[in-house]
Amino acid sequence: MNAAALEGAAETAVARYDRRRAWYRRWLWIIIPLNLTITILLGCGPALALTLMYHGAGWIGQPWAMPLLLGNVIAVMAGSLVWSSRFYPPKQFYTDAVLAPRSDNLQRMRWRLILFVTAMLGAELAIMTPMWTLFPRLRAGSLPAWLPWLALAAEVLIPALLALMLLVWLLGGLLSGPAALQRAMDDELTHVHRARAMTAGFLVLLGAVIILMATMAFLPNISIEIGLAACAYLGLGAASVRFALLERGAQMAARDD
Amino acid sequence: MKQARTQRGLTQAELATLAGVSRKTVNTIENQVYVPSTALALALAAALETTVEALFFLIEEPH
Repeated sequence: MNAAALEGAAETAVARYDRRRAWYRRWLWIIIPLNLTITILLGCGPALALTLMYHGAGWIGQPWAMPLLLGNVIAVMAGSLVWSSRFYPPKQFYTDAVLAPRSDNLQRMRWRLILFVTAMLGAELAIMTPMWTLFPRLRAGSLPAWLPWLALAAEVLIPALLALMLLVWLLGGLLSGPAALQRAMDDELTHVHRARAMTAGFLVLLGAVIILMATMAFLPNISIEIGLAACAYLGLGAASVRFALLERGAQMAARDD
Repeated sequence: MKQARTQRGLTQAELATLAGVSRKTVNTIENQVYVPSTALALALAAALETTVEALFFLIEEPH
């Protein structure tokens, strides 16, 4: 065993964390763009390759297309999470004095992120609705081969990823990390807020479906696709906004103390 | 509950850790914004080494 290995074996978990954190902070400016590039290339690369092979968007109708597209992105994201777990502090680091403010900060960040992602989903729907309405030929594959790929990414991958992010945050927000922190992020009050938010989302979804049915009686040309997307977004958006506002209200009350 | 906590010399964060919830939950209970479940009330009472009845009670509303 050489000197470096001996030194590494003698290193405590906290010292190892400090060393890794220092390395991470030093190379942060290159790690984040590199990580994003790898995620995009590995996540969307197979879609681009298939599009180039078939010169159109017809392949998207295949049953394996969606699992492949979404699975790639999710697998790359999971791999990235596992890799970045090297920089998580060791258990010895997680004292109550560290966890409590971290939990507070994460919960403050959570409701802001939920509102932001909900707004992004709304913007996505607002952009896609006129495209579906005004440019139906875009979906017929009569345009250049790269355009359906871009449209597909905008229509499927972005909303799916945003919805996945919302789901993660609504379910606590932490997929890994110390158990005490996960418990604090998904405690009883969060469960109550989530239940209230789901009720609000369900009621709005029902209302949206009723309005859609009534509208379709007078405007039979309305696209089912737009109607379903709008109903789904309204239900999801209502639940997300309600959850974020409830969390914000509790945070504001806590700040007053 | 705030009185019982301060008597024990605990901060909200410490009580939250003992009860397995977030500080926000402890705070909303203390400020009477949120009424905890029976399980959480029992956990809080155990953390404060007291009884649930000593921490939570009904306030009779004037008719």
